[in-house]
Amino acid sequence: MPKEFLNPMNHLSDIDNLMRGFEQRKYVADRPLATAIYLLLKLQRPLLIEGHAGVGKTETANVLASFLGTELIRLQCYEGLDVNSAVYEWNYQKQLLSIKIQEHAEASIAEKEKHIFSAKFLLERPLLRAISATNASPVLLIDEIDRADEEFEAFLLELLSDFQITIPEMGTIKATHVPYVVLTSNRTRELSDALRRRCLYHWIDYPSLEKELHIVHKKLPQIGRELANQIVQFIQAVRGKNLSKPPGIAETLDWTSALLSLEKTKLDEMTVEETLGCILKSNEDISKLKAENIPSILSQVES
Amino acid sequence: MKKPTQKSMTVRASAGFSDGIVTKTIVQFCRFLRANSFQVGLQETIDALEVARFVTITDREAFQSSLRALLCSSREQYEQFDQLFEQFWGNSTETIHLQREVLSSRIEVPVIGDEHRRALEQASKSQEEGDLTATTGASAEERLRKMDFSEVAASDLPLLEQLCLRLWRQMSKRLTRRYRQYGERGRLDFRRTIRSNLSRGGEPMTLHYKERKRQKINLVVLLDVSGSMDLYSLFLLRFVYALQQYFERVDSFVFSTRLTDISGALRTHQLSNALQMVAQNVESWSGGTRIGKCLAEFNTLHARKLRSRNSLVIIMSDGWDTGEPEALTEQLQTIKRRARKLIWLNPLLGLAEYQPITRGMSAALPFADVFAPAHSLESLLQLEHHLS
Repeated sequence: MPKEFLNPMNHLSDIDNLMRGFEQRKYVADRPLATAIYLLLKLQRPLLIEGHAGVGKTETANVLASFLGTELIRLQCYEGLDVNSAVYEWNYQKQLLSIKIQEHAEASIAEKEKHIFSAKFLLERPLLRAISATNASPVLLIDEIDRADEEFEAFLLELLSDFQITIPEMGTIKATHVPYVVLTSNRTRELSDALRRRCLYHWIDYPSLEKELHIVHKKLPQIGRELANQIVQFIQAVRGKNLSKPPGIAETLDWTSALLSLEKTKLDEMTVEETLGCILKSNEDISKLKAENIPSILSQVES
Repeated sequence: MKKPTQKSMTVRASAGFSDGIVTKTIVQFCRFLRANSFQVGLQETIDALEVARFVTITDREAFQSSLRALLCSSREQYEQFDQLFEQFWGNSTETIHLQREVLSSRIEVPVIGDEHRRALEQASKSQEEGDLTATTGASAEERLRKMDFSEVAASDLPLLEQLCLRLWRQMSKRLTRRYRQYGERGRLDFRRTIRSNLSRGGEPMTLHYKERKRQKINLVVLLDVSGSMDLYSLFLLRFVYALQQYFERVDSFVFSTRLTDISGALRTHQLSNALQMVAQNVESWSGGTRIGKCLAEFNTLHARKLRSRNSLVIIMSDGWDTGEPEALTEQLQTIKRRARKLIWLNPLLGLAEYQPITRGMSAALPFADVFAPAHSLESLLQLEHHLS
């Protein structure tokens, strides 16, 4: 993190710094997003980012960690995620073996017990790691929180307000460096109001034509101006077609690299048909777009 | 992205510029948001004041973005916010333009102590006082909740729509919570554990658990969009959309003389797009009604959706049927056999003098486990009690 950062007198240059820092790391952050991140750092409140698939929600946390020069700890949520895989678990196998080994040792029962419930036997999962960071505040990314169960969400809410975890056999661990928390959600399920209220909120929409072009050039600088223009215009047109899974920025970039490695310099119908799988991920969408008449979309795309 | 505008910030006040006014204005803004259905409570207000300590109010864009990040908690609010911000802080006639020099000085908002907190709490309580430009009053809400959809004035429509979305969302949330079975692990399966650990001398190194069976409720909605339902069908369609958003499995259909599957359109799109798609794809909107024939179509083509006895079937129709009642009886029998519960919602039931004596309705009545009205927001919210 730049030394002068988070100067209490100057939020303007801080937000500018953030934008510049993100840009250097090839992430184009607009001002509202930079402001939200600024508040995340300043208020130490979690930031909830929502948006369509592939618009760069997860990437925000990656870039933030790199910008702050700190560790990124990621927790990928899924249905059935429980405390054991998110916070900690005792290494039972190792404990059992240790008991066997110590079977004839001199130590008292209490000592033996203390031994097998020591840090050596603890498997740290992401949340515990985030709490017990010793050098600097890490960035904790809780990805796709909407896929976790509500029960877990409630647990998380508690964690995000006290930043401490109690392990019955060891005691309470309190964060010395409170992590910067970024949560992402795809809105497959409604999150609880309590969690929403706890968080700052930012919505990432599909980018404008200019912004998307900027991103493409930033990420793949070797691309020609003409091809980039065509790709982005085509993608923007496709997003307007009422598909079930419209392509995100991730798809734009995938497609661009695919076209680059095929050494294409401009879009034509053949090329588009052959590579449609890079931007549309279901058969229904592909047939729907073909029915919409690809040449007519192409004709609207100026080079 | 635009550069931050340096144009002079305007503050809603009548006297000179001081810390007190900024604090008060921010508190008022929070109340204004709350009046517009934002969940902005005391804590959020305090946070907003905290933010004003280091994001100068003079940089309008940063100030606006900050409050937006802080006070919004969903996409809908996020999109609504800018307009509300404009409305409140914008260049109305009551605002005064402040001098540049005054503005460039940093605003010191006092750190909030207990006394301040109490004052704020009081302020929050007397919410209805003051010159708020609140548009949603509690009384208007109450009135609209009970009003028959067919009698709602055009001017009330946007408000009612907003209200519906909010209340349905809350309802669906409660329902999801009730139905959701947690994916927690079941009890330890001793038998498998011991067997699989035999090779290690019986020490239980790997543990096996019994899986817990999940029971999912499966909802099927059939909405009548024939001419006689015109006054209601658009609202009911929104209701179906709301249900679709929160149930794990919903299959929805509209029918008049033909049956159309609209699940896909509702599932994958934003509300306005979804409504448009449905309107485009349904051929027989506002036509006559052939309930029996449509249900037959459902039974032949989609009956597999009534998997097991965990299915609830909701039919929303006024029961005006131009087909033969026998056809209807037969199809309802089939549905009844496969579904756990058959719920018939009839908008006309809201009328005091209504009797379900049309041929279609009286043929259907014996098969309905629940026969309830669906003419107002209130009546639709009652459905919650039957969805189990």
